[in-house]
Amino acid sequence: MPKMKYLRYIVIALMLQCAINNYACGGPSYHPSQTAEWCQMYQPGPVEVPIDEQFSRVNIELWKEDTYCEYPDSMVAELVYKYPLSKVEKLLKALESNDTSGCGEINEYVLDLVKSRYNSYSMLEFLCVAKRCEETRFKINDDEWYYPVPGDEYMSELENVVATCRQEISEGGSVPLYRWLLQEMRALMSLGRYEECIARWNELRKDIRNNAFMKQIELIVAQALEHEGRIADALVLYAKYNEEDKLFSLIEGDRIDRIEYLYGINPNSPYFASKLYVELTDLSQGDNPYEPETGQTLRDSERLLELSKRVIKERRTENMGPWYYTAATCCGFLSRYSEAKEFIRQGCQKSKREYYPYLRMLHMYIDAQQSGYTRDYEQRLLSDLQCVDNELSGNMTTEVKTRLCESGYYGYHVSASNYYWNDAMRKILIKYVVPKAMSANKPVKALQLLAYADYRAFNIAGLEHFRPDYYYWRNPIDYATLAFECADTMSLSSLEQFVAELDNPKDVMSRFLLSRGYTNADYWNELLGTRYLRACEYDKAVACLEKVSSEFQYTTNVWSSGNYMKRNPFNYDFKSRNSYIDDRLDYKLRFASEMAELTRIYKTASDPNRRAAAMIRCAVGMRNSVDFCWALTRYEDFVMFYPEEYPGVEEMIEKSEKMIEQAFKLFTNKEIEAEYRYEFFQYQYIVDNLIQTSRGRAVINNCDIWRDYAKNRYKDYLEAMYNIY
Amino acid sequence: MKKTHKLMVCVLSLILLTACGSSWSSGEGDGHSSRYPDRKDGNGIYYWRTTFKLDSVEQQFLTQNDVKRMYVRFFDVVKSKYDNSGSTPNATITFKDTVPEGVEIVPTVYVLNNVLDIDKRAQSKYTGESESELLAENIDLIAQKIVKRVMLMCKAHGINTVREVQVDCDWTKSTRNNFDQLCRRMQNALPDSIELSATIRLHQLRQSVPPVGRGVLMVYNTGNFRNINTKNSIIDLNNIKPYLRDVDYDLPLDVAYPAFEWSLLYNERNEFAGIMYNMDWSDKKLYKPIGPNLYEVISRHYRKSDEVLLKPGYKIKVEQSSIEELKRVKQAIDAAVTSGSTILYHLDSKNLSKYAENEILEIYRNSTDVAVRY
Repeated sequence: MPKMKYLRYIVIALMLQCAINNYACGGPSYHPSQTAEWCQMYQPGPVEVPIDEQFSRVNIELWKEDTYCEYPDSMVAELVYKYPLSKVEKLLKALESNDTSGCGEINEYVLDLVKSRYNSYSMLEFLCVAKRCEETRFKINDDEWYYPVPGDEYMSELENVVATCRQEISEGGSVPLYRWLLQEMRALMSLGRYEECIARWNELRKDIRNNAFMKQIELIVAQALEHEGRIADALVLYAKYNEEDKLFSLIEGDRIDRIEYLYGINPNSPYFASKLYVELTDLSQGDNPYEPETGQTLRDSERLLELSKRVIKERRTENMGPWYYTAATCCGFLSRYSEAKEFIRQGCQKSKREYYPYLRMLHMYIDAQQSGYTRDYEQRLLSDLQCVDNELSGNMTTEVKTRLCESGYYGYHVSASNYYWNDAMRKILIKYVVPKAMSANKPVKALQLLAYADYRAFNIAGLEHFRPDYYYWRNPIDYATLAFECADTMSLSSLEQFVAELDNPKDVMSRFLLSRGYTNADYWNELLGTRYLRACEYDKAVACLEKVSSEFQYTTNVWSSGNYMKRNPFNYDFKSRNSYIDDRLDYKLRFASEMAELTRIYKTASDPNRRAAAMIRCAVGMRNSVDFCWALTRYEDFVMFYPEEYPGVEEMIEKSEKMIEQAFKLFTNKEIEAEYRYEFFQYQYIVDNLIQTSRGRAVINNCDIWRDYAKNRYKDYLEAMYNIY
Repeated sequence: MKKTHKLMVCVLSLILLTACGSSWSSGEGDGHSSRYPDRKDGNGIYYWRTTFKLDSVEQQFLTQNDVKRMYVRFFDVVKSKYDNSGSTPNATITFKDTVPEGVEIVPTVYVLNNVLDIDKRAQSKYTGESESELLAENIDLIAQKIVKRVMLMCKAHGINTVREVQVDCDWTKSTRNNFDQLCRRMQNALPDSIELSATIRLHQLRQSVPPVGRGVLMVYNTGNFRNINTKNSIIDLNNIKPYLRDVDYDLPLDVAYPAFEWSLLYNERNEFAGIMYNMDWSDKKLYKPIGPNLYEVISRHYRKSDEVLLKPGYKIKVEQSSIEELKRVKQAIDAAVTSGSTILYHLDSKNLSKYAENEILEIYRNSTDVAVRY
């Protein structure tokens, strides 16, 4: 259903989120809704609008031809477009007297014209008339309050122009007919003599050379017809020259009516692709969600479908691609998917070759809406993706690469939409295919699809390590994609499986996706290792993190933003926050290794005091890893880190506290126990129970502040957290 | 029988008018003296279309109803697109026909109120001139341009018997002074033989009188047409009555009454969506009646003449000025103000064909009767 696009998207995005997500992660602050701009989705093929050769350039060429000489365009243009009437009149006199001294500065072409050329006098005479006509028309247009009265200065001047032109045309001089006729037409229009304008054209059209002047003249005739109320005739001429604005302002009805009318008079108009594109884009957005449901979108989809069917049936147009595309898309809007696919099939056979990939993209879109994620569907998807992938890489130009880098502050989502093939492919996969893969219990395939959708364009462009200028220290690609969000939040077992399959794809589709998607082992191992740290599975974390190169570590956000990776994860003092380690390289690995070792010790050592000490250090590490050393378990983004907002943090702290309590019970050596309790500020306990130890005596002698005896200083972590920043 | 009746009415009117030598519009002692006090003797009509072309019905209408004056809208004056402090003519009438003989043409210019809403404060800061100097300069320029253009248009189209030029503006309290200034400047710029008149809207009756020779009280568009619940926005005595209490207006007034019908379009949320004219309700596939003078659009279609796209669910309210309501309003007007000749708004065969001949005569005849009273 095309209606309520955004609502629909949000629902699907939420489904996607629910499917992959049991809790929010501390990474991306981006929202999937930002990818819902389907601005480039409906592009019915390459939009080729012919650009007319500039009239002035053609005119210059013809001037050279008519004056029998070859000079640079700029010299001819100076005479034709820049000299004022007074100067041309002087040239005409100079030509008569053979004396150019009064003409001021003139270029070589003009000099040559005045001195020697065969057709010079007639052409300069014509130029005087043309400039007189133009200057008068300019004055008229320049004075908004002017009202023409027969016999006034301007009208008389234009009457003279008309008379001169008619005389010259009837005498058939050496200046081409089209030049005189154009001036006559312009003068007649300014005189408001529209009927004469039309009559003159009917009289002389057979004698006019078919060049740029023909177009100029016929467009004046079209205006005259318009003035006379002969709109249908005017439209034919406007259609002939693809005068888009005129056409679409004169044709009655809404945009679909206008497209239909245009088809009636010019079935091969080059504007259909762009007009249909605009229409489909509008329809794809559905009815205005802020207005009551009117069903207008469905009705318009029906109308556009009927028109497309008619065009396809009549076969009057050479370019069928946009029409097949439109028919299929409208069927999609109307949920008539089988019919849509049939139009796509026919379109692939009967359209020009360049429309094929667009139709395949559309097929991918329609099919994704219609189908569940089955084996058959996967095969069709693969076939479509292969075609689209070819376009994605085949159209990757330097300009596209530049556009892909234009993410700036807003990050990856914006730049991903800057390239049609990437934008459309990505949105179809994210919006339809991935949620369906999730629903079909294929989370690994879903992540493979996301890793392809999010990264393929960057891989082709060689931009994996691109950083935007604004935030050079950010990594907007690795940690701002839906693939990352999915990997960071999906079940650990699914992520394990995904990483395991990176080098060992299990089927053709996976092979296709992994060979083109983001498979940087450093990235995925680092991500999995971090997930293990979050799950306190330190041995597995070590195995993953050992594979991560130091070069890769330098590219992560947390590496480059402050001292987060220098914070000492085994610091007891949660108030001071001043404990840093020297080297941040392999921060996670070293932490994981030590935690693994501590775990082994407290579980297996024979000495209870050693076990207790290891257990306490391990508990402190666990707590810190989700608290102020959050960089061990999460990915920093553009937001401040508030641990209380992240699920799992409080549970981890609770677990840590229990471990510490348990550890203190293991101690048999009172001196060691007192030292550890002292680390946790348990002065009261030491005074009450361990006064005989050397630490107990020191406390009695030195600690005289009541606060030092507070019981739960250790638990005061929230206050401590706020003091970090 | 009908012809005889009409002839009798005309003759009687003529006799009565001739007998009624003293003019209500002489403006004795009030400073608003009309130069043509005897000009109350004929009927008037507005011509408000952008192309001047009369069909045979319209020509016949002028003859049959003894129309002596035709107030032809020449152009509008709007704010310039290019210069915020400037103004420009817009929607200038195109003459496709010559003006009919024996009918006095009153060139009429509609000046948009915002043209007079000139903020000179900001401008004076830059130029150093006083606000009043700048204002006078600007208004003077607009006045001169309007008059010059009107005279040029008359010349171009052989309109040689102009005795009056009318300025139409929905001026308000805030623009009243500028409008007065415009009138004075226009009158100064006009030849002595041409008098300036102005339209007077009902709400303007409470304001000071503009410096013109005479006025035309506009008794139409009295309600809010944007509201679908308005009973009749063209003319409704209930809307007019409040304006007529204790009126003491010191200007000779002719009165313009509506003789037209329009159809008001509202979207599915009853929001105003456009005005349409000359509707044909016969196509049952397009409209269905849903109440008195109320239709619903049932098929989407485009009306080129009104440049409106109609969608299913839209409602159309038909409004007209009924002869009964016109009579009631006329009575109220006559009781409240000293009114002169009657003018109808506006000349359009399709509109006027909705009235019977005697109904039109009835509206006009009353004016003659009124003239007799004074």
